[in-house]
Amino acid sequence: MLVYMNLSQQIAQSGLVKSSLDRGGSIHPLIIPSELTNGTGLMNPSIYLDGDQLLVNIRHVNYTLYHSEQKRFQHRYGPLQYLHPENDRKLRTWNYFGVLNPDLALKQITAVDTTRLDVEPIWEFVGLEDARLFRWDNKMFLSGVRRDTTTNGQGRMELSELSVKTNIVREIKRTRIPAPGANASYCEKNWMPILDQPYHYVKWSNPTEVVRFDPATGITETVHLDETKFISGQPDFRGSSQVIPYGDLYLALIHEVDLFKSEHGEKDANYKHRFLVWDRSWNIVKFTDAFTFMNADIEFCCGAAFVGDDLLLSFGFQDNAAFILRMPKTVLREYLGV
Amino acid sequence: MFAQRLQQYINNHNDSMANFALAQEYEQMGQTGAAISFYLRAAERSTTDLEQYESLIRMALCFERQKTRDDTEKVILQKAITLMIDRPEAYFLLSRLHEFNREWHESYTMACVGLHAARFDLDPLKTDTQYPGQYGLIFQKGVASWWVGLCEESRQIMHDLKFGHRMNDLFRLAVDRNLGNIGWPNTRTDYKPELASRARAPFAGLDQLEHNHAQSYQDLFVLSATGGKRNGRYLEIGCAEPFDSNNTALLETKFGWTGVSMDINQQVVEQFMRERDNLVFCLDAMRVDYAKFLLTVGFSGDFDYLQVDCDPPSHSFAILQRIPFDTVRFATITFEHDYYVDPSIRDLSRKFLLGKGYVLAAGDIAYNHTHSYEDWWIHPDLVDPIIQQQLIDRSDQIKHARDYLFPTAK
Repeated sequence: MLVYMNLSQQIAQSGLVKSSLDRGGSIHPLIIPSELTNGTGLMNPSIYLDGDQLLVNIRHVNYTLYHSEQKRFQHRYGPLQYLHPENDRKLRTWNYFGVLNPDLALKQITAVDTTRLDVEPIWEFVGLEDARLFRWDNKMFLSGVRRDTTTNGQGRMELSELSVKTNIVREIKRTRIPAPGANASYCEKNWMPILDQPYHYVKWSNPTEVVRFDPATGITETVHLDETKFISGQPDFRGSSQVIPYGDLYLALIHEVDLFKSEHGEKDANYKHRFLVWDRSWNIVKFTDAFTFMNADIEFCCGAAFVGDDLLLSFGFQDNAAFILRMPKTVLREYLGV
Repeated sequence: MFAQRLQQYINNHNDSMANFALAQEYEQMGQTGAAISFYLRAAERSTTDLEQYESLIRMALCFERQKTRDDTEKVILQKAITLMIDRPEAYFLLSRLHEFNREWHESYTMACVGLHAARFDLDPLKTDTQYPGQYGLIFQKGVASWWVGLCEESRQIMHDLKFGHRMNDLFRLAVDRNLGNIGWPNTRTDYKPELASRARAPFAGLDQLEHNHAQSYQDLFVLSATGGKRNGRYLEIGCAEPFDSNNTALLETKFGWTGVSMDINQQVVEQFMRERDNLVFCLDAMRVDYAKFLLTVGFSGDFDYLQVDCDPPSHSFAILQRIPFDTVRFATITFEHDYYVDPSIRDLSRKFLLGKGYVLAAGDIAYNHTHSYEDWWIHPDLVDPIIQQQLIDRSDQIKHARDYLFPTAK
């Protein structure tokens, strides 16, 4: 018996990638030569259309994520482990700045030189993690979370201003962004930069909280939060991609995570994603069902860009591989219904 | 190819082979992190132990390329072993990993367990796992045995590998280097006068002997069988050096034997000529017409001793079949079949010599308790019946030459 599934059902079952490919999309791996990376994880890329140039930031880590999704071949320390070198307990992140050809192949890749601003890390997660790439006020930025500046691993979003020259990409300014209010929280991450509103981020999405960082004063304030708009019965809508204009709306990809433990108390996780659409007053007008990209339990998206007739989404797979999905706008519209 | 594999994965993300194939593509590019993710998915989604096993092996190899993930690599290889305890690859890789980490006892243990538990007649895996074959595990045992203090065992293993196994260039070079570093095994069994009282078949002149020359008492066996004969005659095929481990030097120098020797090595033949009085020729023993040869060098009638000792043992057997046994008899024969290296020759040679009327006095002679390499024969018409009784040992055990000729209890 043939069973008809609509697009939403297909995406939920087969993943966003397959459903997009079945409708004219394409998938493009992002690979940095292993001579530069020792073969360990490439993950959570962030794509950005800068004028007519397609750019991407790729996160490279010194660890290999070992994730026994079906729990049949678990690691000695449980189903989900970050396998750092045994002679280096730190989980290190480096960022690579890439230029893409129109066919979405990497034309050029350059390690972001952070050495002028680096200080001795004092916690075990080192580097700027899950950075989103974008331009504000004609300056190129990476913005992600850094946790290596305090002995307890406090996480704060940072803005890293980049100087981009042909073969040199250098971090020239690093700004740590406080949380709004008393700045007392332990970890702030995955704030989504709003591309057409400099220094504004969507901090949370259920309910939506928009914050603005003032580089002049170093103060962050909440500029939109309507707690009456909380959508009950839904999980935390956490940040993922940049927030990009979508006609007279805003579009972003968000994630939710189910953190759980095995019977032995060992950590495990499952990530899902949704599209979220706001109007210009930050009212949510659409959120999709949760989906995966390529059916792995841990995937993460840090970038979205409209290019021509397509939406490009850049995502990581099990912290070990990086891809760009080209999704026709027609498919997106069908899926969103807006 | 990568694009195809990726597409196959996307279309069948729960198919173990699609995951495996994509993992291979990543691995070939050195993208070991990504490869590990897909190999692990392949292992978890496969329904066959063999596929799971190979996926785990490949994961371990990826971690090895990353370096400094040894703890994880060990656990993965252990999982592979538990899946298929009769396959050799995981034992080899785990023993090698322990070796790299100088964990010698663990390396030795894993090699020994692997050699005991694994089958070596199984079809190879689909992919190259760096496992070279059984000799790889033997090599691991040989390396580790040195460092756990079993030095002579290590020398012996390296020696056996060198002469008994076809190895790839990497292992052949490593074996040669190891032998150069740790030395060769002691394969000599020297005679000492205090052994005389224990002789299985005492012979005239034994009590005046202070030492012998043969590797494993072959010269003393011949003298035992012939009652310490003076002025006997021999044909020595594969004589090698004139004195060191030579089977006829004692016969010539102390008992007045004459005979003819041959070897294919020009250098040792020239040395033999300089240091010994009896005849020696540089010949390819595989091509000699022995009937004509013996006539040419002036020998006819029965001999007291025939030695056949050429490498490899298949050559020795081919030479044995060229001997004109219908016209020439030998009171004693020592035939080197190198059973520990090549088990195929011993039984063929036995069948052949039994067919020629010879009696096996002592089979599976060794210079230790493990390496059967020769059979010693007598002709019942040419050896005194009482001596025959003394010398014939019908047991099929490996016989250390000293235990055979000089038993501790008669």
